Amino acid sequence: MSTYRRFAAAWLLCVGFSSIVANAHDLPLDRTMNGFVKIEPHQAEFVIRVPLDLLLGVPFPLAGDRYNVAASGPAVATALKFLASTLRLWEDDVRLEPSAVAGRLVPLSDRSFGDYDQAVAGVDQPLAPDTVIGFQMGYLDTHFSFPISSPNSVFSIESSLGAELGDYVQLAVRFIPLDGPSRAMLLNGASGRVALDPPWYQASAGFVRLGIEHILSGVDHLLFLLCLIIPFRRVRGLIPVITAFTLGHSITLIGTAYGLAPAGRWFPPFVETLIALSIFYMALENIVGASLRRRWIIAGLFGLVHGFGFADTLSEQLQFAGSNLLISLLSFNIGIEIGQLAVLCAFVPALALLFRGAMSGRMGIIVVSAIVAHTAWHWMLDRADILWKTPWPQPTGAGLMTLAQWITALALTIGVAMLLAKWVERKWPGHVLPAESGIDTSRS
Amino acid sequence: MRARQLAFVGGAVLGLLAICGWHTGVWADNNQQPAFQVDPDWPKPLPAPVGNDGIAHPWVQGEVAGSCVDMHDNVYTFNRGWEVGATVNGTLQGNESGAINGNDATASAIPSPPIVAFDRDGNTVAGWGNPALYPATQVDGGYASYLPHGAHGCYVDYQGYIWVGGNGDGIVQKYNPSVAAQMGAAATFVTQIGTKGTCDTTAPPASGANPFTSCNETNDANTSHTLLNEPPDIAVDPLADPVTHTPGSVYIADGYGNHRVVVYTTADGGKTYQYNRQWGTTCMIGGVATNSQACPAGTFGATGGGHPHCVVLGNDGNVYVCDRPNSRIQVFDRSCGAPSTTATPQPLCAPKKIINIGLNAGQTPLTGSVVVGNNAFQNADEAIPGAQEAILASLTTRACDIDFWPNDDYLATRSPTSQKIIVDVDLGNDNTWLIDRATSMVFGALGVCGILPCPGHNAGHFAFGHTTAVDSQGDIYVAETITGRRVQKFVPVQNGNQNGHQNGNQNGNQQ
Repeated sequence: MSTYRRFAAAWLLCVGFSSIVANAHDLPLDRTMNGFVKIEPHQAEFVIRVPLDLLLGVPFPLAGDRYNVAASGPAVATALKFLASTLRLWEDDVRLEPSAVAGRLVPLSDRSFGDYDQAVAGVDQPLAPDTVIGFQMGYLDTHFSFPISSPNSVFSIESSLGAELGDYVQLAVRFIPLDGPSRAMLLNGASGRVALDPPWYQASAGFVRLGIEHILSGVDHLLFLLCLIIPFRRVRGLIPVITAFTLGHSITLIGTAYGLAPAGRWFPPFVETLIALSIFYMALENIVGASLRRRWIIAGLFGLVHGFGFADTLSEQLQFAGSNLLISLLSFNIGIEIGQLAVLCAFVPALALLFRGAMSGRMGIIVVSAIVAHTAWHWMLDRADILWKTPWPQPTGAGLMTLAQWITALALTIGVAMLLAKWVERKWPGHVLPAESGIDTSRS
Repeated sequence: MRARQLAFVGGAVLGLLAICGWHTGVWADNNQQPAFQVDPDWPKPLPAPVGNDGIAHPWVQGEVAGSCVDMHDNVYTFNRGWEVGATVNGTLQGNESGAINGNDATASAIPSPPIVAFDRDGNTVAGWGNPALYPATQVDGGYASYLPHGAHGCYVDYQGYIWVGGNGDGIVQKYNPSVAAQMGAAATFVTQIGTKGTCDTTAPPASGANPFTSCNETNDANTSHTLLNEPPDIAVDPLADPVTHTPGSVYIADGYGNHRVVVYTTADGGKTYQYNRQWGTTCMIGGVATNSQACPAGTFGATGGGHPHCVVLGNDGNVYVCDRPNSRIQVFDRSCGAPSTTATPQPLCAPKKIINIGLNAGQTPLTGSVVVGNNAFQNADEAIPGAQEAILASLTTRACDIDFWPNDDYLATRSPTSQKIIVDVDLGNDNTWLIDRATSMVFGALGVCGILPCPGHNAGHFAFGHTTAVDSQGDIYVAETITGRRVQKFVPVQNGNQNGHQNGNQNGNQQ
């Protein structure tokens, strides 16, 4: 919404104080276009309903405060040309040109866009002669037919209608392939060209890139990684720690994508607060010189928390996965790992350089960790403040039962894991490597 | 060590699978009632335009009397901050309850426009009135000369027009909310029912400190086909009228001075409206005008304001009417009163159902009427001794306004879902009850206090909760007037049929 705020602020500054109350709305009241793209053997059908709020430049004829529907033909034709240039459909890398177009004005009360068949039938029907459409209180329903070379091509869509309003104007489109289930997407001007049914390799590449971008732009995740590795001097010692962190965040990331995370407004600030806490805790461990023997366990547990944070970013993007949900999830995870490795490749030698001379020994660890702890402390307070102001779910019987089950299951999980770990240690003592293997413990 | 790690991870995966299984099972429980929590970040701060003095002047809504939702899930509020009175910041403001004053009158605050609309994210997307309709010399910003005095309810009809009513000077009005920027402010006005300042009453309009007419609550004409008294609420039927067979009939709660529901129909697609029928009159027991849950069916409480106070069309084809002085909802057939053509029509129409929101102590509800809430309020008594008595002691206000949940369609009239819950604003107890229609039980409340009175100004508390509206995504909005002066949003956090916003329409409306 930052775009909206900039737009609104600019608008307010422009119109000035005195005229505020004399004007009507500053943004379109209806900002969502609804559409269907249906792939037939030889053509792609694209029906879309555009709010008249978004077509202010088209001179639809008026009769008083209502549209003169009978005389609207030329204006509808103008609007169709405009829409054909701003709503673009592609087959592979070839932009499609419509072979047939149709359109009509309809009132806000028209309900024909509930499904594709009704929408198509509606566009082709004339309006009842007594239909009343108040000024700016209707839609333009349109139907474009595009010849295609193959129904198995990769189709993509791009909208620049209302691009000046950034992400405020949205296009809700349902893609109906020739075979297979239909799927809905919500696009805006910032979405660019989006594949409606990407092949697995295309989806995978996109999500790998997204994962890399996310980890590299996530300062809190980077600081947590930094805290994890500060005491280590050898890459070999980092392997179990990073592996545990990766497994932890993979579990919650995938679980969340399949709808298993708690709902409710409290959860995102809860996770954000825990992430800040995880950084602060790890920094404190470094400062006090806690044993690194069990750091992989802590890394794994905090990895669960960070996975929820990754999932929050991913949730809005999964609609672009097409039918490749699992592949996209794994690709996102791979992207995260690539980003992590890149960060480690930068951090480890950088720390090695930093921890020379006056910063060698524990002094360097303490100084760097203290700086990180200070930052994390403020994040933690800020995020906890937001969390504190967010009401928790009202205590209902079912809710309390759910909470009890989560706590029980978590306790069981930890207990089972601990028992298994001890049993394995006893059973195969020779196979268990000391935790500090590969780690320079003399300074920790 | 690696084996140990693998064992640990294996245990963790097993445990999480167990969690997921439980989790899914619990959330798939269709008998679970929904729960809601307040969204403390909604709405975002209102605009603060910089004036010619170089100072930012934040909008203040004042009393938020009405709340309604359009088909795009924008939320409209009908506010009283503009109503006239004292001079604040160089602009004449109100000195009555409807104006901004006291804490609202900060160094630079100004009244917001009468109508302010927000989107679901809490952005202010519209703020308008219609100064073009008032004389330039009018000192109050001009709104009072044409808007309903005593700004009250609002409603967005199936064509997208917004209706407003006021419990002051006898009018309801219809506006085009989209038109002003392109056609000028005056074009927002479409039509009105009633004549401003001329009331359906046999007593002279009240005046005094209030510079505008008030239709006088104590009178009970109920006679005019063209005039109203103090109409607080409106609903428009998108379906064919049972009498005229034409859609677009307007149902008006013509309360306060009058005690009737009056229906106007249209033959020209909503340009003009004609009186068609009405029903309801003052409750009389033993020849005395009375407030009581024993009031005869089809009558409304005598005094105390808001009789009737709301009119809502359900998807069952019935008309739900708030009999606020009697803390009950009466459910009528749409054809009630049809057609009234006599000079002094006061037809009583037997309601299909009467829903008492809790049973007043010492009063006997009508035979066959439904009492909701007493069991729940009894539970409240167990939590805090005396709580039930406290709730029921608020005799006259437990049915202030209602809406249905969920409303997949913003028009309750044709929402395809079961509308399994009645959302009932209880002004006197500062809470909003959630009533299961099937079991007639109050099973929850929107307030953070649970099923208890919940006064206050923090998020999730209420002060004079007044009207409510439900959007297509399951969010509930409650407007607070008099001392509350805000609108709050409550979002579903768990329920059987609608989990958060996930099952709603992706774009917030059904077309």
